[in-house]
Amino acid sequence: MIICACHRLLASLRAGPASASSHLQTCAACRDWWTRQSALERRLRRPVEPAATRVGFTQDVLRKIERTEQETVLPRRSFLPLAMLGAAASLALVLFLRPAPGPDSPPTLTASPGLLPSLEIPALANLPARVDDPLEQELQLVISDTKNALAFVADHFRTPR
Amino acid sequence: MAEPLPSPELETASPDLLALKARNGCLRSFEELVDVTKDRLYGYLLKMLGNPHDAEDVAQETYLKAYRHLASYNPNHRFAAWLYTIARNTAISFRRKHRRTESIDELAEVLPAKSMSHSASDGDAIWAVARQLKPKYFEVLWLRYGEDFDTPEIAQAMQTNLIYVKVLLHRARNELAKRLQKKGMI
Repeated sequence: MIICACHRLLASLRAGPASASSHLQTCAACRDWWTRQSALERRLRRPVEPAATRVGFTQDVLRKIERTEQETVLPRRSFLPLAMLGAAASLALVLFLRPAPGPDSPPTLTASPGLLPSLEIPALANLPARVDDPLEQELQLVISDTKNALAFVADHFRTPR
Repeated sequence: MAEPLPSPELETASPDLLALKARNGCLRSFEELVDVTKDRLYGYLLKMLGNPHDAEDVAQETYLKAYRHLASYNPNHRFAAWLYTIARNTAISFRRKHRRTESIDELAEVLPAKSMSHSASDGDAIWAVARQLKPKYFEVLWLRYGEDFDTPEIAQAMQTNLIYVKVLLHRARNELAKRLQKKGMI
């Protein structure tokens, strides 16, 4: 019985009853089993009642494909107008919320071309050196602050060797 | 305006050729491909899921996925095997989502054979009995004899190896023969 089961399995895994022909010659039970299996296979291959999809199935599939393609394309297309709209809204908000000049706020300097003294280039060259002093002082302050910042970073964040 | 008639080439084209054309961007070929394969795929899913509405939903989802991933279809293999792989996975996901079943084997309890349409034909009667087998047994039998897939194609569709497919076929045939014998149908 076990031998028969082994032969049947091996024959199924290989090339069918031909691979177990020597056993089949001596085993009537297996010959009968193979005959029934062959008959069963023939019956399984017979056509069955076909299932049919409803009318409009293909069109529905194509419509869904179209819809999903539009959904994937839409965000890319709508990005630019949305970005422009957002930028415009931000600009409008900034302009709207800008504080109006109060009584303490410094006067807005406006000058008409007629009120400005006309400076010639030679006149600029003749200006005294201390006109540049405030700029020089500012530069020194920046250098000093940078040195302090670097010293702070070196003291607090430098890893000891 | 009258719709242009399909070219004779499309009318006689095999699913594999249509799939190749669709893969190259021809939507008309994909439409033809759906038309050619839909009934068999629907029949397979109907047997897998047992409910016409579910089968149709899964069939549509299968074609959507197939269209999206057409680039990954290998034309050296049959399109049907590739399509059925997608269909099977989609059906399993569908079942998990809607019935909270974790295994395809549990489909047997959910899907009694009475949900199948019965007819007097011998083929249908045998398949009605086959439907009562374990789902994997039924599936392997259906792919082999109903869809005429060869062993490598079944292995591809079921995402398993050749030896296991052969063992499954052997066990499924044995089990079916026993049941048919009990019912006096063999």
